Amino acid sequence: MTPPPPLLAIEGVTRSFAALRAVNGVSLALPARERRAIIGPNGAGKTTLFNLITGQLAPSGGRILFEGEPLTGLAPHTIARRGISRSFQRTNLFPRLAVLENLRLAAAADGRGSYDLLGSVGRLAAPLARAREVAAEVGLAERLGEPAGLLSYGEQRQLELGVALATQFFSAAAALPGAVFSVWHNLSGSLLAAYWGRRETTRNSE
Amino acid sequence: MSYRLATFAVLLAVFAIVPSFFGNYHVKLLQEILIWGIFAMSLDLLMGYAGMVSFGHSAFFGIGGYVAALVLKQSAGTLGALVFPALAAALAALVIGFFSIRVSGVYFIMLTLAFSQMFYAYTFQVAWLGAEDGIVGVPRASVLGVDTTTPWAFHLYVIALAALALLVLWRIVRSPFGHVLRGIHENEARMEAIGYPVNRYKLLAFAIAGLLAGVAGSLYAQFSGSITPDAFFWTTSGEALLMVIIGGTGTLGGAVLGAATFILLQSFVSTYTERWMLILGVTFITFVLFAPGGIVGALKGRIGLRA
Amino acid sequence: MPEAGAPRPGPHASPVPVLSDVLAQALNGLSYGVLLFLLSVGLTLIFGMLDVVNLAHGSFYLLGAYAGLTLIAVTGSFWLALVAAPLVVGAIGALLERGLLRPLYRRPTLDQVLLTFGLIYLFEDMVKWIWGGKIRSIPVPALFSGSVTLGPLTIPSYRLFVIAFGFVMAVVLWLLIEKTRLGSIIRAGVFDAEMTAGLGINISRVFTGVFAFGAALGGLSGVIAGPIQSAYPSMGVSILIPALIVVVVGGLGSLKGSLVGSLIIGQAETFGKAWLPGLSMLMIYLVMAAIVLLRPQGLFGRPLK
Repeated sequence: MTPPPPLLAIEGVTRSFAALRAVNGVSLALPARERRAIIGPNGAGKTTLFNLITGQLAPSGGRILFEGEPLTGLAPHTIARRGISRSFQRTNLFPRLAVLENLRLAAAADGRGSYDLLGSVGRLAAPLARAREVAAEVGLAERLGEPAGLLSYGEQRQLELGVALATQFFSAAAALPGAVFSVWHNLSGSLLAAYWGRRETTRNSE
Repeated sequence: MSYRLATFAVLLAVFAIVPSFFGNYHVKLLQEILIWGIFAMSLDLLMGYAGMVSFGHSAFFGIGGYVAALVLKQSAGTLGALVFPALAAALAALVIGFFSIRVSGVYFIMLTLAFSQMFYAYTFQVAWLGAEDGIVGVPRASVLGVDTTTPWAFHLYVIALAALALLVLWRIVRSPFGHVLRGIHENEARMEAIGYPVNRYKLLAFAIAGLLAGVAGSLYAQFSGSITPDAFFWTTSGEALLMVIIGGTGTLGGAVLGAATFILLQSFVSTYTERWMLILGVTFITFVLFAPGGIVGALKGRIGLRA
Repeated sequence: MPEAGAPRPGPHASPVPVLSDVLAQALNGLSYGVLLFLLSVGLTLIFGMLDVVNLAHGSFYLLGAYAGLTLIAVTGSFWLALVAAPLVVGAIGALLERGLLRPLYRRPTLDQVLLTFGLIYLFEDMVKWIWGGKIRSIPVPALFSGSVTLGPLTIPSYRLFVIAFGFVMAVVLWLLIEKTRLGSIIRAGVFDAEMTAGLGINISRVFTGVFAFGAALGGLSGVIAGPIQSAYPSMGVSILIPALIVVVVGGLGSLKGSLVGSLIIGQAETFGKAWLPGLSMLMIYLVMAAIVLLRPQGLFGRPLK
């Protein structure tokens, strides 16, 4: 029996900055429903690789395929809409906006209703509900009204995780809503474990 | 909320009856403030909510003015007073915006400045637009069946448009679209990463702002009966910028306050001293340094009004 | 002051520009280019190092012209004014940077750009206050008050002086920037201010110094421009846009770019005004827009961060 095609396929990807080869012929095949960790010393090129996957950078060579479709050269928002979400190494939030709004923006990113010029945000029920749900999952349910910039560092990392989670797009292949593939960049193991634990608890209690 | 709506209504009523108590000079001042207020509010949408600091907003003001002037002299109706100027300005904003949003920061400033200067250079030279003297003899029109050629009617017309502009912008910044703009202002890269086609939103914001600036320009042509290439000059954009910052960036109403400050300084202060430009410059610099929230920000801090 | 020119052709002259006309315009373009060069060097270095587009840079030009006017009136010596006025303007620049701009360094650079815009109003009105709003002519130094005839051309000697002075200044500035330690600090700061600070150099003093230096050069340009353009309060605003265009075309942060840019724009504007008034400015703005869109670092600027 042939193994299923990988969800994410990185094939011989390189990225150079002038003379510096930051990523040098990396290949990786990631099947669905699996977790991988990429570790390495400073300067190894981890951040560059993540930026190549989610589109902040374009590869100098090689290609990246998601669900069999190439991602190379696509804009970050297009890649996100294919079903890839990520967190960032340095906290990359919306500092003056409230925690709830940070999450709601992520949840509303599919664009439905976002071009509404005269309507009310309150009437977009689905993103608001998803935002509250994610807030609970990452342990920020008590801090919804707080501007993101005023959270503690740990809370900001939780929100960072939350924003990546709240981003959800419909993936045709998987036929399921939800961020299909997530890049957790610089989120501590304990943070992720706590999240997974909470999610299991929430699910088990349904 | 209804408290604010009530204040707004009272203010409009007060403006409406100004001609009964004040002479021509003061009435014209008020109208000029409201017209520039529309122009400055449209810039505030760009600057305060979408985070795009443009030095070329005068392009749309000028286009609105010139298109209005040209059409109104042929036929003084709604098309010339509102429809064509707004459409022309919006179209220009789509084109200019399409190129300008590809760059940001200082480069955005210089690119938008270059575009508006192109219009200045063109209108200054060509005879069919009156060259340096521009177009004169612009009539007031019959708008949507209402005759605005009498002083009273025109006065109410200006107030109505200003109020409408404020209400429309107010709804827009509170809408889902407005929230996206604010997200872009806060962290454009993150918005891009979570799936928003940021350029599309910026372009739409640019077009809306351009459209409203065009309405202001058209109104200005009807107000003064003429339009000159100066409407396009980069200092016109700069003056709108001053108004937004003095009033309070990102407050909408602040832009009108800023317009009032500028125009009152220009007219009243200049009767006592010639140094109104100096006072304006110092005021502006003081605000930038110490009160980046502008007048509205300062008021909120003192009286504790909610956002 | 008359422009360089040839004796006016008779009524049946050919409509095609005569060589002497072309040469005359080229010389006018060259002397205008010198003014642009001196002004834009400061603007480009300030942007390169502090990331600030100093919209008030035209004000240094303005202040230089008026300082020159007063110094000449008081001392009778153009040469004294040539040395002293830039120093005065440089001092003003230093005060500006330390007092008004430095508090804003932690804020987005756009705030600093906006502040410099407010300065335009301030300086223009202060000049009007002190010297009045009327245009004031500035006498040409006695040494150069005549004209020189080269073949069919009659050129005011002062314009030749301006061109020669520009050439000398270009060499001096090049030596300063490329060959001295101070120059290498400036170049490093333009390239990467943070790293330069990391090398143990007091970068805030360098900022003040570069700002003052740029201001002084702008003031120098104003002094020299005085006898040609006279002095009027809005002359700062008038020359700001051409200077900005030079900096965009030449490349932000590049001395070579300033030189090449000002030569190009100087000729383009001069010939444009003479032959194709409206269209030429339109095309210049188109070029500016094209460069910002397609090659934002200009001809010689550093690659963008």
